[in-house]
Formats: sequence, structure tokens, C-alpha cells
Amino acid sequence: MRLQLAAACALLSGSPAGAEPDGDRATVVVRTAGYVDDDHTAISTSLVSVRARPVGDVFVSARYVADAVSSASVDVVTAATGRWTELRSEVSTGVAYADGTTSLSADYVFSHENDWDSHTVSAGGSRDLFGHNLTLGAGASFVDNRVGRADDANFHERMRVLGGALRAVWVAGKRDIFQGAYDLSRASGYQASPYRYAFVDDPAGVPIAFAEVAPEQRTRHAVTLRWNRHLLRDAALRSHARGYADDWGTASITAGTEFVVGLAPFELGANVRLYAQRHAAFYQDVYDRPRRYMTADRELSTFQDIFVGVRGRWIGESIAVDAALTGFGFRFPEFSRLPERRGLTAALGLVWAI
Amino acid sequence: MRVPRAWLALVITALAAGCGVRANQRGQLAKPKMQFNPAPEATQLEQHVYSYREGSAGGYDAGGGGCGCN
Repeated sequence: MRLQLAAACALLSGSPAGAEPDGDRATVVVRTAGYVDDDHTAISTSLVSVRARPVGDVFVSARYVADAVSSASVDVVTAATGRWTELRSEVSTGVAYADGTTSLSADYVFSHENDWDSHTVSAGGSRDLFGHNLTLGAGASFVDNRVGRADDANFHERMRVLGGALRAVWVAGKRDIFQGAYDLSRASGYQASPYRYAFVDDPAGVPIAFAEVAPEQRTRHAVTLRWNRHLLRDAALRSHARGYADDWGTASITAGTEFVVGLAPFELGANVRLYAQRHAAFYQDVYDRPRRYMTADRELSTFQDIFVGVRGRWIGESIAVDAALTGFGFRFPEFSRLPERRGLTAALGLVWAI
Repeated sequence: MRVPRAWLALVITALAAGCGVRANQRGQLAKPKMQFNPAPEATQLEQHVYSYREGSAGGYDAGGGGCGCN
């Protein structure tokens, strides 16, 4: 099991181009996606979402997501357990107000799996200024996680995340639009894995395994800049960059771009995303001696990854169908049990505007 | 503190007012492909992969609950 520490920040896209709503009375979205890697892990995800406009400028939404995970990864092998499978279910609902200048939203998400329950509440708002050339937004979220351990009724831990976000969208010209964002979150509570073991070197022979221990507080900062530029007759270059740092010592940079071209009724795109991370201060592949904090989480090590993908969409009068295929590769120079990981993701979606 | 805030307000005002784009000039900006999050559900699924495979979080308008394990 791996902790997801991300706070669910309020949706503050705030696009002056009017991303939400689309003007229809209701929109139904059905999506399925698959993930497979050479670390013997496969994930299947299905999603159903309904957005409706019951009255005026008020919108409501509901969504169900199910993840089926099957894994015999190096973590599972290291823990001397067999392949496991589990199902995660997530339901969410939200209400929003958007009159073209001001938007307000509130959302609730509940997620359940056999060893993890999570409740998320979030709220946000935005306001267009200067003739819709500048949009400012802010939001906040709170996540309450209850962590368990399979086949251990006595294991109960909690982890809470309080988050905030600021957004600014700027229309810089007839072809250019920018977004700047700052996200802050503070996680408190249990942030290790009850299934993973860190290793301490034993000069006499085989390394000794210790249960993971992570700090109980983590403050995270992310600053993102996005730039969309319209090109040619009906194409766009969508680029983004993010800097991230937290008080565990982890820091990363993310950069990516996507080229999208419209060839009515089709839309085609190609994208690339690069990520590089510096390890948490207390991370070691094999510890020289027992430490206060020890982890075997390779996502806290120094590593790099790349995602390269293509996507296509057919857009009809009231229905759109899209598909995407992405290949990825990870390099873990500080995690000797899995130096590299490669895999594929695929997605298929249907959007029906009623 | 007052000086930086005043400068910030001045810069924002100048940028927003000096480079204003009128409504009749927004044809290209209004296309779905120019939006930052034109497909929220697809973005959620993509960001979920990144969030459980990388040590960073935040910044991309997507969230969710739960562990998203292993």
C-alpha cells in the first residue's frame, strides 16, 4: 500500500474561455483506463460521471470511480507475501454556481477500500476581472483518512490533510493564455506503509528488516505555470511546468507539452511529460544503522521518469469518443531492488451531451 | 510591506489592462483545446497515475480521495 498524500484542491480552472459549463442541460461521461507495468502490477479503472444544470447558473455533479488493482510488485515480493488484488470505490458529489464572471463550488468525495477510508470536502471560488482578462481564484480542502491493515483488525491509524490553492489565469493575447497556481498542503498523522519494510545493513550477513517509520507531519508546496498557445488554423500547444518541495526534503520539477490539432470531426494530439525528483532527507536504499525515520518507498528516492503519449477524439453533434495510449519509463538509481520500470496506460472515453 | 503590495497591484493592473483582449477577439481562445482542463474526468485519471507513482502532489486541478494503492 502506498499513501496518497495529495489534498483534493478545489477545482479552480477559472478559464475565461468558459470551460464549465458547456451549455447543455446535462453531460454524461463514461471512461475506462488500464495500467500495466513490468513490476507485475495492473490497474483497471472505470468512471461514470453526470453533470447537470437543474436551474439557471447552478450545476450539480455526481461521479463513481472504481479501481481494480492486482500486484506482485517488488514491494510484495520483499514483504514475502503473494500477489494481491483489491477494489477501491470512490463516490463524489458537487454543486457549483457559475454566471460567467463569478464561480463558486463545493465538493465531497468518499473513497473506500479494504484497508483505507477517506473523506474529502473542498470548496473554492473565482472571479473574472478586467473584462475577463484576468481570473483570480482560491480554494481549500480537508481530507480525513482512516488507515487499516489487511487481516489485522487491531491496526487503526489516521492521517488528515489540510490544503489550500491559489490560481490566476491571464489572457495575454488573442492566441495566448497563462495560468499560475500555488498549492499548499499540510498532512498530519500516519504516513508510512504498514506493509513495507526498510532494510538495515548487517555486517555479519543478510540485511535486517524494520517496519517503516515516517514523520507524522509533512508540508508540501507546488508552484505551476501553464501556457496554452493557439497555432495555425486549428491547433494548440499546451505546455506546463511545476516546481515542488516539501519539508521532508523531497523536491521535484515537472515539465511537459502537448500538441493538439483539429481535423474536423477529429482531434489528434501528442504529448510528452518529464519528471525529476530529489530524495527525501531520510531516504536510504539500505540504512547503515537503525534511524528514527526509515522508508522503503522508492517514490521518496531520487528518480526520473518520462511519459510519451498520443490521443485522438471524434466529435459528433452530441457525442464525443476519445482514446489515448501512453508509454512510460522510470529510472530509480537509488533503489537497487527495482532500477527501472516501464509500462503502458490506455484510456477510452465517451461524452454524451443531453 | 506596503510597497511590494502596491507594486504587485500596479503590475497586475498594467498587465491586465494593457494587454486586454476584447470579447470579439476571443474566437481562438474559446476553443476547447485552449482550455486548461477541457476533460476533467480524463485529467483526474491521469493525475491519479502520477500521484501514486511520484512523490509530488498538487498544481494540476485534480484531486481525489483514498489510497490508490501500491
